[in-house]
Amino acid sequence: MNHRLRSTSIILGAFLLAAPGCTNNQPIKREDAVASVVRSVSDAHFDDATQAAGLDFVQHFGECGEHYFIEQVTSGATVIDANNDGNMDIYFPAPTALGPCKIPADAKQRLYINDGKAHFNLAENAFGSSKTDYGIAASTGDYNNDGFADIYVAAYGKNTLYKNNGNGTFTDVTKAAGVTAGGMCTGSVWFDADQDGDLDLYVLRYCNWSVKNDIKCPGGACGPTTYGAARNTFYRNNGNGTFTDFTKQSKLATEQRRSLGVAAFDSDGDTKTDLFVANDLGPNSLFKSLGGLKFEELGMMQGIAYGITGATQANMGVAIGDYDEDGDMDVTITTFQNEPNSLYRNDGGFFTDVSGETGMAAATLPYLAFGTSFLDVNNSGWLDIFFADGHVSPMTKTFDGKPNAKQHNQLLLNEGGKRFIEATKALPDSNVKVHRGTVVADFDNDGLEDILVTATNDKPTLLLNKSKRGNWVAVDLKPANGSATPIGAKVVAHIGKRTLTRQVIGGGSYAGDSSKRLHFGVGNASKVDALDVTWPSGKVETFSDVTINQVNIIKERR
Amino acid sequence: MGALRQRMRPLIVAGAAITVVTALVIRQNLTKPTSGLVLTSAQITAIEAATAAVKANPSDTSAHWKLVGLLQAVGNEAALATEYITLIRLEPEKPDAIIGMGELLLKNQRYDEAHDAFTQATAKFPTSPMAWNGLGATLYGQKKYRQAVATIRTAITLSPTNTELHGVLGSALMEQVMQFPDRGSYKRELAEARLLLEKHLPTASQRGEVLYRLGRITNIQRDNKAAVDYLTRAQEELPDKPAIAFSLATAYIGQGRRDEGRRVVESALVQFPDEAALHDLLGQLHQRSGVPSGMKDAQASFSRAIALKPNVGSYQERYGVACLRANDLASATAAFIAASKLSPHKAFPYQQLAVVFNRQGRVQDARDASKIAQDIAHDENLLKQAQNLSMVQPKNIGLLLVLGDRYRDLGLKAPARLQYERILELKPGHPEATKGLQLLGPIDEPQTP
Repeated sequence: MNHRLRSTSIILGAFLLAAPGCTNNQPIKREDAVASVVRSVSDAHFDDATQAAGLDFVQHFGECGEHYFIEQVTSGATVIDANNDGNMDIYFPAPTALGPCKIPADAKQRLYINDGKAHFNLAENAFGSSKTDYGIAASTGDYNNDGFADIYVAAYGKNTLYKNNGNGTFTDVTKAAGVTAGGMCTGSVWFDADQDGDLDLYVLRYCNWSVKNDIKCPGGACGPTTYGAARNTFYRNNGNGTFTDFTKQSKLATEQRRSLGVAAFDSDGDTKTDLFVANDLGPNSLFKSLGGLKFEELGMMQGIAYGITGATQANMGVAIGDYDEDGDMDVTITTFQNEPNSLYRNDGGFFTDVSGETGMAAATLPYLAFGTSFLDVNNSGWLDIFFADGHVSPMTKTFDGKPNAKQHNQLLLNEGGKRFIEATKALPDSNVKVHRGTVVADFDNDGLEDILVTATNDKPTLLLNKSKRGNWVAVDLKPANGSATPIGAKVVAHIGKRTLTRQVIGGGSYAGDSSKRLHFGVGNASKVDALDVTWPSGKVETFSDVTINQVNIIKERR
Repeated sequence: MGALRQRMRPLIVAGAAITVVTALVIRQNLTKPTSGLVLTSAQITAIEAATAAVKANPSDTSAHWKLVGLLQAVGNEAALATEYITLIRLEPEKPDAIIGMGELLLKNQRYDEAHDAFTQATAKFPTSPMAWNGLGATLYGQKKYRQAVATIRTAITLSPTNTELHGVLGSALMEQVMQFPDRGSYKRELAEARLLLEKHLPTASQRGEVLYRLGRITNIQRDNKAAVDYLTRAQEELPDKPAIAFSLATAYIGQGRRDEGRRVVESALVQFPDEAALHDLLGQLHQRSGVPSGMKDAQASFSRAIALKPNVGSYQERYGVACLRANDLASATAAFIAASKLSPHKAFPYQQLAVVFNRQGRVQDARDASKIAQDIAHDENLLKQAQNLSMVQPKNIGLLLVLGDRYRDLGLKAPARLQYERILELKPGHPEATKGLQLLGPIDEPQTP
């Protein structure tokens, strides 16, 4: 699908969908929004469209009965517009054989191209004969600002950087780029750490596990603390297609941790992109950007290192979003069973875990969650939240006393920025697997955000959003440097007296990125007065010619 | 004085000495006349008759045993001890008297003397299950659970149908596991303890206690459904034990039945209003309740818990967190400082102080607290790693030594001792383990980390 550029710098996308009954021009009131959310519990609905979408394959973890520790954390996926047609495609990493194991022939990395209606075709030759090592996670970023998003695959063994050739194929440039980090890598994130206009790369390591030092415990794999923690790696983009390891100089990995989730966002409104890392069984890290390549780890001091009880939790996935509409980014973290998922309200850079008073703690305590994403289920403007649940041990007993690692996912709807109420019934009954990653995008271009959930050694699930919805505006940002993934950009939408804030987040969730397109549900409002865009360059621009119920392509003025 | 001197002489039993120490201590305490006994005239008459029979024929063991039976019935321990001493001398070839003496000492929690008595009993009568059982029970009382388990296993080998022994073994296994901070890792021991106690339950005399133990085990196993069942029944049998209500509530919470857990706590607090652990648990329930007043209610509950027991570090920590959430930074600071003094090896209070100081604008203090917390957390991580590795490499002496030394540093004497003893089993005379044991000194109090 092509977008024609207009000289006004706002380009209206071609995804025209009229919202039913959207004639009210009055700004939405907060109390109206609350009422609409309460109604939306029964209005929220998702269909399992996996089979119809052509995503009907098993994402293997290399199973052969060895119960390797690594099998607990596999199966990510990342959203990428691989061919710049405006439709959200999906990349799935794949494992390789470990030790004496053999893997099924269909266990291969997969890039699925979306036809715009959530029908996907496997791009068989996208990677040629190239294979990754044991792929766990992937992240999407246009590291060379050529306008095409590239893919970095975090793996056990050696990681892989795939450069998007712009013609539907990718080339392994890992060695030439110098991003050969290895070990047991569970994720990565692209962000402009030094504000020089290109994306740098941060790589997560979980621990010092390897096939050789694998230890067996009764009932299967041992816990993560059996293995030593590991240090993450930061690569600075040299601007010429190569990278340099700047881990030490940047102070972005001061401690060895067991990192699983990561997100790059502006935590304190200073326009510089900070880095949040969710660490399993250890304090989370918040690396605040001090400008240039200087970072200071302030997780503990800013109150985001620990959960509601102040204790260390099994932190895994992370979601970033302004759930309370106060203009700053709040943080949700997924945790282990019998630990509440955390919701950190951002109070001007200080974080307070409000999972107790918002109802999130009580709702999530019984489940083990990995992936998580904020999304606006019904275009009310209030950010709801989705959790991908599934235990790590097949010996875990469910509440009926039977051993089973499979759990159902959870959907919590936002009640006016004050409480979250469970709307898991909106998800299909088939929604019970050992889930891991989750990413959000409007896959069928109907103006509602959909969800893709991955599962270990199981088929992914595509949940198409069929909820009753309000109006919406989507924004594709095109920065002056040509990047296809303007991570760090911020957009504030003014809708009457209401303002909604979104950032283009780097990373997030677990083991994969969501769409970089910003989505604003606007409820009953029929127009958006203006969009204030803070570009990654630091430039701030206001755009008033915004078309509702469309994707608006906004280009930075040079 | 003559009779006294007589008793002080070493007693020679078939060539083996029943030590003077045992006899002496018995004389000094258990042979004191037992006061406060109220006997019926029939009992008095029977005891007088039996005593006369013994005096008439001091070497008649059946007369002595008859008197023992009567004294046991009325609980006259002083006279009973005297009779056992006599019978040990008269029947050196039989284990009954020395076992009786050991049980009497055990009953009075005189573990060292009981240990002497049973050690000699097992040496002289190695096929007596009751001698081994007595020794096992004594070791259990001494909180030497690992040795208790081994000893009771011998008793069970000798008397496999004795379900009472299964119960003791199950209890010892459970207590052995309870000593460790990472008790959930001891899956095999917990499973065996559960099996033994379940086997013992139908015939158990202390049914409520057995149910309570099963509840605790299944709680650790996270078999919350079974835990709720056992603890509900335990509470019916032992309604006056607040610890059962606490465990039952945690089992409900673990099962996702938070409302029922809360009802148990609130109901127990009516009965036991001064039970700090229950106030603390109620605070935690408030904290995660999702109601707007949850944090305020939590703060009130935690406040009550620390008022009742100000020296429990974890209560101070939770109170501090609640104060922090309520933006009561002064109270939070005080609570975390108190917690850091009570638990100097825990990272938690320092972690929280870093947050509080930062919010108060004391940035350098916050950085310092953060640094201390990170250093301690680093040690905690290493400990966890050593614990996990030791589970899969139980004969790795290096790991056992690391764990023993670390537990000793943390003041966790019982698990420290277990590590050193295990090393000495694997490598007798190991110098560092021996030194570690010496440095540990006596274990005076229950070690439940």
